[in-house]
Amino acid sequence: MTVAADGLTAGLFYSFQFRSQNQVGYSELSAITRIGLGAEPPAIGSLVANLTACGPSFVAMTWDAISAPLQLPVLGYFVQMIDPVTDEWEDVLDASTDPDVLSHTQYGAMTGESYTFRVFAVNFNGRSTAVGNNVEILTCGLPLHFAQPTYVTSSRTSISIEWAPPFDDGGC
Amino acid sequence: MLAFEAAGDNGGSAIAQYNLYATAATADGESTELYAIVSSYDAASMEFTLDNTVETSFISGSKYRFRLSATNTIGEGELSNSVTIALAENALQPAAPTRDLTRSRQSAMYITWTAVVPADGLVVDGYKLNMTRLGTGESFCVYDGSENNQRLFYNVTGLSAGERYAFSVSSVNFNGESGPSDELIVVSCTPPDEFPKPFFISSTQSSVTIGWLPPSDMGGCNLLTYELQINDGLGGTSFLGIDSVALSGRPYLTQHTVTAEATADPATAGGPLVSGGTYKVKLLAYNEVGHTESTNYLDVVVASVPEPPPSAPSQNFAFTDEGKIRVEFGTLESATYNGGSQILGYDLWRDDGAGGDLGSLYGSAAAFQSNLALTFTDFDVMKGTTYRYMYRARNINGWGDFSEVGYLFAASVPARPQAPSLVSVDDGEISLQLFTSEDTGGNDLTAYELWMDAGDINTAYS
Repeated sequence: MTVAADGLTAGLFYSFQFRSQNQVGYSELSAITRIGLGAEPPAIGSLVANLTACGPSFVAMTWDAISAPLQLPVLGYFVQMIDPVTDEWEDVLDASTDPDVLSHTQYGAMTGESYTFRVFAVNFNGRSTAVGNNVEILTCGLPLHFAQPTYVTSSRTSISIEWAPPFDDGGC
Repeated sequence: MLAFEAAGDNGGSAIAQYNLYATAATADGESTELYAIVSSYDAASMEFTLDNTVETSFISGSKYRFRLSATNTIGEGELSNSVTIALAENALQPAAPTRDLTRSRQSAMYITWTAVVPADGLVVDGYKLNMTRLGTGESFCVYDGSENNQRLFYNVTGLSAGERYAFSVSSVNFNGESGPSDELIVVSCTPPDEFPKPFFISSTQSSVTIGWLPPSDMGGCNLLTYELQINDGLGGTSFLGIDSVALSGRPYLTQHTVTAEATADPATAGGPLVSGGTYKVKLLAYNEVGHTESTNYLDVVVASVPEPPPSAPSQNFAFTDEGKIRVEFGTLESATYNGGSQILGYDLWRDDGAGGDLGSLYGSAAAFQSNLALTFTDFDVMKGTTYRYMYRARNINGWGDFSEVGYLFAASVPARPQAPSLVSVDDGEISLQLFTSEDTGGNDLTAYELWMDAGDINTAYS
């Protein structure tokens, strides 16, 4: 049902209880449901991979805080990932009580495999239903330990150098 | 008076005269002295009346022996045989006999009579009782007590119940038997007996109808009438007959409706019966020879049975749950419903919850126990089952009609529902998902309520 009582004030937190009645009388009141009156947070479309923070067994991502004015503040975020086994979205980060968390590193990834993520904002009423962008991130870090090239020959018009591959190819 | 016969043989010569001799006799009639000529006799008449004012030696009440002789020219013949006569009137006629009903039976009548005064001092020797069967005309002496003047009764047995008989009595003295008394004509029966007390049939707030059974012992003859007697309705012990016009000569009646109470004057109809008054009523049954009272009086209250209750039983949900039903019903004590008499008990009926017949929850005890409670907690119920209940009340005159049927059920309040859940919300509107009670308590849900506070901590719900 939809409650559209007069005098509701955005930003306030309302408590609701419910009960049934038959000819004998009323049931006990239900447990309380508290709901803040305010629109849910918008979808987060700023999720991006943080490639510099990725590695051969982990992927990293960041997103931007919601800047639009809201009657109910954002209390945190949930990060979801498609489980490669079940192919279903599953929560991989519950940061619903810390709005300052704007990044996440997912460990345990398999090198070379890609993983898909999305982020939801959470306010008093729970996570937003608005779905933002998905980001697919390959599990692979930057090449590391790349030795300096060395001189081989040169002429008036050419220089030959040689190098060894990076000691750490980052996993891909 | 003496009468004579002429000498049968005059001896060949005409009779010249007769001589009358007399002598005093003893009680057994034998002479104690010599005969003497009665001088006042004219010596010729064939009749002679002895007058002791002339023959002064003759004493009234005494007995005398008389003999007669005839004389012709030759001389006086032999004396005749003697005759003994008391100088007194014949025995006096007794009064008509009477019957002693207390000692009579249907086939036997106890007849009594009164002794007569001795005539001229001559002792009465006894009495004879004669009986005539009026149906046949047959008449005979049923008792010859001519030598027993002390017995003034006789129990005539062997009679046929219901037949009529005429009795007369005669007295006997030495001179003979009197004429018969006037007749006592009676039917051979006794007063009715074994008359059960009347019983209650119905009543209103202004009348009472009682019924009765005839006496089981009619006494041997037909009933003639009933008499209804009633007291003053205030506990008085005096009974007065009423409604004689309606009852008189109607022995076939077996019930009667009384609308008027007795007054001090039985001949005057009383006022209307007082509603709520308790009257004592009894009956008298009459036949030709007497009457009997009913074995006891009937207490009747001038009231109708209670009115049917104006509403069906209801249930008190505060004391009803899935295992019991608290049934409540309204009192009928008010004058509008009690029929004019105090309510003595209620009776609550219920069916089996499956449309079967209704039966009393109090059982047969309801008829005599004072179940005046206006509630009944019925534990013999099943959750979710609807039962039909009805009730009635009784006062002194019985049960009134039943109320309408009330449909009551064993149920509890619904189970606690799940808390509402949020469907959607924006800056001005909240959509909630509500959940009904999974257990309705055995009764259909009729309503829901959603409570909400004012949006701040510790604000009131509405």
